[in-house]
Amino acid sequence: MKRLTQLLIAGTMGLAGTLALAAAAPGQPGTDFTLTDISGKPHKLSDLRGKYVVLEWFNSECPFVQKHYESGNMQGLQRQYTGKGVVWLTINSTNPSHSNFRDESRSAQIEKEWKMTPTALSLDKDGKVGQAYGARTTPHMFVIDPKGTVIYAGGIDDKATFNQADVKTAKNYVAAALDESLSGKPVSTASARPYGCSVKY
Amino acid sequence: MRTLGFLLCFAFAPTLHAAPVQTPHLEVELVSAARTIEPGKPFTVALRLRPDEHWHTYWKNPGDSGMATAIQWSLPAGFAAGPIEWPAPQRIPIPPLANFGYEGEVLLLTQLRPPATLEPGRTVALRANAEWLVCKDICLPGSAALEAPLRVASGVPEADPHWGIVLAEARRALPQPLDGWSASVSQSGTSIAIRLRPERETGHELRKLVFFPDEDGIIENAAEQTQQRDGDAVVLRVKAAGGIGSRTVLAGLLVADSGWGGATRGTAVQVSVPLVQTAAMPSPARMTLLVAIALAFAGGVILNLMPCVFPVVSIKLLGFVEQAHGDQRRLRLHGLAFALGVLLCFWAVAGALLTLRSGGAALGWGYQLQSPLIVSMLAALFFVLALNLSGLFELGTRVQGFAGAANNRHGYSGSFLSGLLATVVATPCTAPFMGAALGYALTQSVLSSMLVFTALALGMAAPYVVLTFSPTLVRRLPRPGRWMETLKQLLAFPLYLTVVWLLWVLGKQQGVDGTVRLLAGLVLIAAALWAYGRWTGPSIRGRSRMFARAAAIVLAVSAAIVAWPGDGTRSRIPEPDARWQPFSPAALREAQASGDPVFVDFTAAWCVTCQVNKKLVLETEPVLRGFEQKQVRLIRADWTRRDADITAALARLGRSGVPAYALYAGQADAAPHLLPEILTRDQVLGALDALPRSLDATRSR
Repeated sequence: MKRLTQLLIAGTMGLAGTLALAAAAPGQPGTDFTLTDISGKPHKLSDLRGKYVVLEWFNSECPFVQKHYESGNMQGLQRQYTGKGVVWLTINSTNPSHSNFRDESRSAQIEKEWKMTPTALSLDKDGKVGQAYGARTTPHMFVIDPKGTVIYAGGIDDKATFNQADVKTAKNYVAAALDESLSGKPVSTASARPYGCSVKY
Repeated sequence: MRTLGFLLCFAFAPTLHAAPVQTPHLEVELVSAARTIEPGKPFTVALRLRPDEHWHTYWKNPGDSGMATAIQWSLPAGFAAGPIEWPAPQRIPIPPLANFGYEGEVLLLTQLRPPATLEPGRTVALRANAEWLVCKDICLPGSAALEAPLRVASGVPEADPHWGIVLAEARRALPQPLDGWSASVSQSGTSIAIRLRPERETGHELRKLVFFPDEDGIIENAAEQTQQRDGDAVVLRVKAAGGIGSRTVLAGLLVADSGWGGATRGTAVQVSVPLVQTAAMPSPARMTLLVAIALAFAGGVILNLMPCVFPVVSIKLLGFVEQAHGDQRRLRLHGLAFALGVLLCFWAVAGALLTLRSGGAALGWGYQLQSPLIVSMLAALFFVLALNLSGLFELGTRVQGFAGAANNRHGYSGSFLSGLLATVVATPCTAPFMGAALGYALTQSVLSSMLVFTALALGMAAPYVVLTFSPTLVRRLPRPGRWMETLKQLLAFPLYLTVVWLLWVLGKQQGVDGTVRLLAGLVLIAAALWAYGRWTGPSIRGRSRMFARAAAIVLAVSAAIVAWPGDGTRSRIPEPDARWQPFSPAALREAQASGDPVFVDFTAAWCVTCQVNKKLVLETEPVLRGFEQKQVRLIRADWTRRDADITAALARLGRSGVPAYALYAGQADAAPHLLPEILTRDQVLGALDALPRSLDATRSR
């Protein structure tokens, strides 16, 4: 009954007014997009139905991103879950005019140096995908289930610091959402505050 | 990569300093207002952060990205440190996002309390590890271990000639409680309106208002905040973000470039104000016809689950089971006949209501049950239905056997009539969403009103129409059999209980005498039906049958004479409940003027939802205790009988029926917080929890 009421309220609010700023919320379908990765291969979200998809907002120059790569945390997650058939899309929405921008060849170099293993690393130069998802920070993580529904949106874990040592003791929300959902359980934490540097749109 | 390594080394391998520490793009230092400290006397220190030009550090809520500066104290034994006393931040736009922080130098004050046992003459070292994020286009994390040595003296502390003054100034500029203004906040969809009204005529104008929420995710940080004058009040509109959820309080800082006038120093004040949610129940003025229709349809569907509709619904379902395994087309026609019955009855009730209202009568939804006559007739109707289900008598060919039912030509009128009946008993129940939709309907043109009522009727009929049109669902229904007879007899009991409820309603309207008259009438009705049932059937001779029918008619007429209710307003029994004050406009005004919060329960004896809420929520121990703790004045507006004042009060809340629950926060002008039609304890207690802080903000000074 309560759930029904909430659904109805959500429905009527949708009628009452449209949100100007799209932000991907858990329970809603993820906005479709096509991104060309740094090797020139296109990735279309709607073609990935039937698979879990992780979206990771990335900026190699951001200390919070560096925290998760210096510690090997992000590469570990990428390796572990792509091994289980999850599609991991790392997206850099940095504006080409910003000092943090790294072009395709430099990005490929970073990917190799940092031993990154996402399914693909893509540049979202006009920031359209980032803004469609309401990506605010790097990192900002989204998990999409095989039906195309967002099941997690938010920070990578519960320790909003730049201290590498915190990675070990933090609760990783992305891993939790994937593990729970892969084993048929509901996602216990479907959203959390994203933390990190602002996305350089 | 090399820069990264360097940065991390720097960040995590700090050394002790008593002087300013230079880090990339930021100078940091721990300073004290006094050179000496006195045992047991609190004193102020500050973390001073001075970033390079155009670089910034962050407030406690950093906004869309960033990280609040943090201090970890390592103090000598017995020392206690308070929280950071954050000065008002600035909005730092980084389109399409925004952060809250400090461009330029900032002093983060903290109060420290030394132990009373401290030995004068000693020098103590205050140590702290500070962590921050400093950003311009890019962000650099930093941290430093800082130290400030202070001497313990027994006398009055010796102020630091420089920092003593600077820190005192910084303290004066800290956000203060709201004073001289009363604040109220309402939310409609994604628009939050913060209304500030001067408590006295001062002529002070608030300029360049900005709101900073205490928590992230409450508002769209980068969205423009617009300020508007409304009479002597100022309204600041900010855009809500998803994180606001069903929050009942909006807390944060309001900063006005102009200052706040009166005794308030600085530009920032703290506010924590109850949030009146109008998102789920849009106010009548703002609601569109489309929304009202959608709400009405949803309300109609939910109406089927309301306690007053349940018995009739049970009978209808039984009817569908009877017919489910026969002709599909017939079943569909039954579904449509039922829907038509619902629709026509809603039109009739709504048409009558609109006609009466246009004639100036102060009526609202459920008005028909304010009439003792209609209550009595409904009670008799339910009683007859129940006796029929119990098997006291059978009517015509209709109930000759379940096998024959599908071939029964009169079955359609039966479905039509049960549609009518379901509506008649459903009308007193205001389901969720119906309240707002009906409130809207009754303020609009006749055409719009009828559209809303039509949507309500279609919503109520929708589950049955869907059921009869879906072969899959129909196949799931169990096969007819002997169990149906048992179930039919069992279903008589909810109907008897409905009669009990209606008798109670009548008791509230007419007292014991009226109730007893109706009870006597019911006995006569039972006798009439017994006579009819006993001497009906193929084996009964014509003369006996005629005699029995004549007797039944005489008994039924005498039942009507005995039970016919008198004037409802004559024998009024006031509710004997000391906690609740009866409603009158004067009583409400007086209660509001007292400054205490006020809770108004709009209820009626014939409204089952109201009674359920009363028993399960309002009159339970924890809720009553909650009311007591917050010194809430309780007012009960009993709408069992017609009452123009209550109808008007409901109209002001945008409602036309009961239940309705309004919580006034104890500020003269504040809009009330409307609670949902189906209450839970948590909702009431949550709304009560939202009260006290607002009182501190507006009353304590």
